[in-house]
Amino acid sequence: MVEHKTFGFRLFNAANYALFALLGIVCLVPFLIVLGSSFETEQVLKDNGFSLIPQQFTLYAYSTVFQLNTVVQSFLVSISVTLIGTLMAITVTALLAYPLAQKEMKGRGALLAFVLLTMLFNGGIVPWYILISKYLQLKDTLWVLILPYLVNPFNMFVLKSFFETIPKEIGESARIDGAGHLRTFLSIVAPLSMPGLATISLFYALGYWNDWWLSLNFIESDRLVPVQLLLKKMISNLTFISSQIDTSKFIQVPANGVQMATTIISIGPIIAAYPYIQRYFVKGLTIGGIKG
Amino acid sequence: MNRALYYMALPGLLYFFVFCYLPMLGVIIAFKNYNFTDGIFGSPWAGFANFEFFFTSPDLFRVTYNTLFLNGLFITVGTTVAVAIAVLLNEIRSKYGARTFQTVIFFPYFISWIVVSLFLGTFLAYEKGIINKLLTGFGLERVDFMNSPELWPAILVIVYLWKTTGYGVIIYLAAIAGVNPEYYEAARIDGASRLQQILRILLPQLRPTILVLLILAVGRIFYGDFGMIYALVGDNGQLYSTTDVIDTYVFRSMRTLGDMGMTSAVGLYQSFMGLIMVLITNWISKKLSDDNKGVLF
Amino acid sequence: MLKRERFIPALTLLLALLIALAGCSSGGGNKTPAASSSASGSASSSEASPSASTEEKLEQVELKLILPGDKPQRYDEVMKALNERLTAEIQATLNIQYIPWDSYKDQILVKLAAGENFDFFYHGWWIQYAQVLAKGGAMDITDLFPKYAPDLYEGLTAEYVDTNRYQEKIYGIPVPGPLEYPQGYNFRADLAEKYGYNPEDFQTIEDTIEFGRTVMAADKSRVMGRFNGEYSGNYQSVAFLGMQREYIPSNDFNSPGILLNNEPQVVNQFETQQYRDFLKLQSQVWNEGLVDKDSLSSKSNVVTDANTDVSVIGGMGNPPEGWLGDRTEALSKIEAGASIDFVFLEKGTKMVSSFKAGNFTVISPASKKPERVLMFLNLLYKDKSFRDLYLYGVEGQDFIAIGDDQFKYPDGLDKTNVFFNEWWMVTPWSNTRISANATETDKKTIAFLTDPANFEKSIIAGFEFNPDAVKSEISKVSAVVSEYRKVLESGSGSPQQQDAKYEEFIDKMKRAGVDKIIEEKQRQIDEFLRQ
Repeated sequence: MVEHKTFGFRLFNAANYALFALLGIVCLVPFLIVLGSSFETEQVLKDNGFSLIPQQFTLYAYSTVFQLNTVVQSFLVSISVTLIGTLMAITVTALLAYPLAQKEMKGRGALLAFVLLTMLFNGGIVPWYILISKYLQLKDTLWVLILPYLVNPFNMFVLKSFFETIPKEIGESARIDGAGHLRTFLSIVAPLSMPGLATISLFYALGYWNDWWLSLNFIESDRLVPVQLLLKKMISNLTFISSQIDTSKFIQVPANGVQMATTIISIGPIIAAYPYIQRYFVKGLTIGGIKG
Repeated sequence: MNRALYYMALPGLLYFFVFCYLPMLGVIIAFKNYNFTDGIFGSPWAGFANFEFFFTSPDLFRVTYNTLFLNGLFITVGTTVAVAIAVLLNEIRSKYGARTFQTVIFFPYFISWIVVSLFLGTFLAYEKGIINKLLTGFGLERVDFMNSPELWPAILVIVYLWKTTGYGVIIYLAAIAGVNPEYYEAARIDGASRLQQILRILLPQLRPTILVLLILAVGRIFYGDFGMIYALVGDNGQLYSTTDVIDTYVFRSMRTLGDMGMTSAVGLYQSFMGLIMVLITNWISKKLSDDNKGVLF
Repeated sequence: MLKRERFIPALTLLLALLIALAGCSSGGGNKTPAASSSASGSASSSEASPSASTEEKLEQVELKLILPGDKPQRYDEVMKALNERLTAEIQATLNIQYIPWDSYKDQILVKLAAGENFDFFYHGWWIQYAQVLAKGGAMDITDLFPKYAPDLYEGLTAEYVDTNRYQEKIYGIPVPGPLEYPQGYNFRADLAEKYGYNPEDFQTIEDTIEFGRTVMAADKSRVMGRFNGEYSGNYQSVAFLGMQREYIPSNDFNSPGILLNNEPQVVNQFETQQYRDFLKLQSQVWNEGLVDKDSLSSKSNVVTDANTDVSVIGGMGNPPEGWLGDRTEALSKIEAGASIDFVFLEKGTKMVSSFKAGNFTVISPASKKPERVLMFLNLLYKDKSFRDLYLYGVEGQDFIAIGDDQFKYPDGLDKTNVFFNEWWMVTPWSNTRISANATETDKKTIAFLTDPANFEKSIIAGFEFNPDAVKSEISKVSAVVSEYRKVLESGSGSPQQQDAKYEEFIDKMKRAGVDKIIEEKQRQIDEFLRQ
């Protein structure tokens, strides 16, 4: 697109960059503070609250975390659950969202209401727990970390709205050529909806990666504890220990430092993977050219 | 041919049936005097007794108002800001710049509310807080944030925006990316300026997505953001007049007895009100739309 | 399609991971061996001699215990040794599942609701043990207890066990700690010495405030008192100092309706003159600048602060339970010469007590081997070496025994890197070891707090308040009390603001139905006393 480089245009551009630079700082600085604090000694943290640049650099908070001999196992669990879960979740969700985006589907309204109601009504923890542990017998399995979150109704609705922006003619012309619905979806609609699929996949990935609730309730074996639960248990334990009175030696319980360190550790892999995912967001622009 | 569509939808629908509708039967706990021995179905009925504490509470009006008001703020301001940022971000010419900004805006999402509350503490403290240090540095009066409930809706909105805008921006960016560039092209040929292209083409194209997110948020409007408010406000009773929402109130009331039936009762009330809000909003959107189709149905 | 091409190798990797993990989960995850599910275990053990004489071998079973906290270090090694002993004694093995503290209360309720397969667990009044009892989450062991854990039963005394009954039956096994908590003043002994104060100089609360003023005037870096993240008010330490007071339920300071001076008149403590005077005192202290105002929104906790805060001069609170020496050691590392001491401020008053326990070991209603659980607890009570193993780990590696009743950690180790379990979840305090650092004051106070002769028996000993009739009011009032106590009792704001807030508090409590609660408590107590 050729733009007229008017003065107004340049001013706007500059202002835009300035705005985002400012926003970037506001969003980045707290994160950097968390990073800096994770390398700070507990005493300094107690006195000042935080450090952007550690006054007394220490790896104590991190070593406390990695001292746990199950850390590697936890990462393995978290990564597997995230990868497998995201794959399964995006597949099932897309396969549900696409038909619901087709106006000709009969009973569409009822099915939409069916899904929507699950966002509004909730029976509480007890029946859910009984169902999963007693009737489905899923305790202490890898599947219990994946299946309960398989379809998030919010994600489904958003994905559906992305599918609905695809012009009808594309689907229709494919079906006139004899392609079935599934084929149409897989070979034509899905590639065109890459930004939407990538976005929802990201949301599922984050959901699986960040979750500790499922494992708290249903995992007893050490082998299936994901990273988030491990970290949460550790923080809860440290907070508790630091509230206990019989410390015969002065324990520098790094409760604050560990909170920071755990934040960094849990974000790490996501930040590492994010650039790879990002390209799918922008992809839509070029593929969009195929449209029409 | 429609059958293929049903088969595709089947796994998802099955999931909802098993993991959502089966446990939903537990909603009857709200009407029961639940005990472990008799279980969910065997426990004696209690009629509306479990609802009594909430509806006769001296704080009923306050927490309901706060919940709706705060959520209303979050939804309206949150959506506006997220859309605006997504649109502006889309205007950044440099690909790397855009990607970097998009990533960075997302960072606050990863910081847990507990850590955020620690930050907020250092900002807002009376004697040694960062803001007050700046104020006194400029010769101004200190502000007692922790004791000024009237300031907190604004504080909460700002913190909420900081933490969650990144999430919304991603969705809107994806929607923007899905807009056919030929539309812009056609408008440009017709002599439209970039601003006009945004207002006349982009925003209308975004409308379905915005509306869907809006109505889904409205369905949850009776649910306060417990995680955020409990972490940030905590036990500071001074601030409850403007920040105490239904969820934090129930949490506090249940501290002594912790009755499951009562918690379930309030939850049912919140769900039911949410349903009504969704139906109303959908009906409104139906009336306002050109093709008599509501946002959801 | 780019996405598809990357899928194949990714999928293969995933499949591999999946297989590996599925293998792990089915193998290592399930910890309930077949033996425990055989019902014959309970049938035979109820016939078997409860004293577990070694001639009759019982069916081998596994006992599952749920505790709050985190799995301690060296769990596997120590439990192996422990289970060898346990098998030899009563043909059982113990398996402990730990649930993080902040989720414990809710998790136990959910597990009980699901009828999950575990045998016993910890519970306490402060995490709503009343709920567990009311909903049927505890097994009735009235007959089983004396039969299968006779030593423990006798050690606790029938009278003590009886005061902890619920609706005439024995449910949870009470775990006695300090019987009550007469209040006192924890203070920096080195500062007292420096500014010419002897412990006997602290007779009243005003004395301690005067001490605070003196030190603060001379040393700007000090502060008389500080709040922390756990502070929710402290009227119970000061308002009724020197009076006999009994909270109903015991240890619930938020519940309006207490007894004073062992008289059968239920009083709303928040409406008394003593409470109002206390608020005035706190307001005075606050507005004089004797406390750190910002600390009111702090998130730290009591013990961390106590072990690391060298600027605070002292504070009102519970008597030490063996930690004076440890705390002194911790503080002196930060400021040389720092030391902590404690004086009782309620000398001459005998506190009243219903001898109610705060902590319980509860047997789950779904347990198939309650007799064996009781035998385990009995063994824990009477066998010192077994108890040391359970509480402190392996001698020499996890702890070093000092005499019969003290211990210390081996060099270079502390609580976070050895095995340990909390005593107050399973066995009486008198049965435990205190820190080798315990000072004379520690030992004296411990002796004082565990001797029933130092307490006057309450007129409502054995009484249990039943909240059913006023459930709704209790919930509403509870919310109000939580909202106002911290603000009011910290003394924050100007005196006028505090007065206004206090009026607000009383008004709201009334509208929430507090009078109905008081009446109901009175009614139930009158009925109890008539018997």
